Amino acid sequence: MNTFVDVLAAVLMVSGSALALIAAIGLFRMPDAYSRIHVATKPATLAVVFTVGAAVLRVPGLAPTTKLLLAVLLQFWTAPVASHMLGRAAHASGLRPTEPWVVDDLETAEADAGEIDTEPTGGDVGTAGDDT
Amino acid sequence: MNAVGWVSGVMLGIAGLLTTVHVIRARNLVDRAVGVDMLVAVILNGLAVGIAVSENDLVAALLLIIGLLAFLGSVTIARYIEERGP
Repeated sequence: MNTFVDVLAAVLMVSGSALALIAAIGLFRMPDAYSRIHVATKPATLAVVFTVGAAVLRVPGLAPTTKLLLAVLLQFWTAPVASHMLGRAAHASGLRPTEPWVVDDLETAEADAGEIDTEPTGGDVGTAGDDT
Repeated sequence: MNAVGWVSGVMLGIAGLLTTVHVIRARNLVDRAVGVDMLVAVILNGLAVGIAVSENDLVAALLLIIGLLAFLGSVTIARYIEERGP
């Protein structure tokens, strides 16, 4: 039983490290910033899950297990938010992919929101200026 | 377990080197922020492998702290890019 757990931990460790290596190679292979955001988020998160899983299998006790599982949970919460913020910032700052967009829903959504948002405030300022 | 630790360590070392080269050669700020994010993930992997090999949970809290700091840093850089440009 103990050797089985050790072998499982070893497999998890090696596959997690291999995923990290693959993600690092992907940073060079991907053509633009958006696909690099993709490659730096998902395989890297899975790699952390694998290696921390190996650590959980190897270290006994409730306190270390709680800490390590909390680290995995934190990674699951923060990694998507951080990469989403980066992608949104790249889009807002005018960075474009090397190939043209297939679908760009954010552009149309922002155009619609801009029309709705700017019209009332612009009207208010205009009338206030006219009154005085 | 030591040999497995060496194999994982070498793979993570190569990954860290590649990521560092990417951060240095990046053309814009978004690429650089992505590279730093990836570097943090590699560091977390290294800490977890160290915990697994040594069976010692002294640095387990570091996983939490580094993950949270990296998240705050990424979000701050993203807000900065949104105002200033890539």
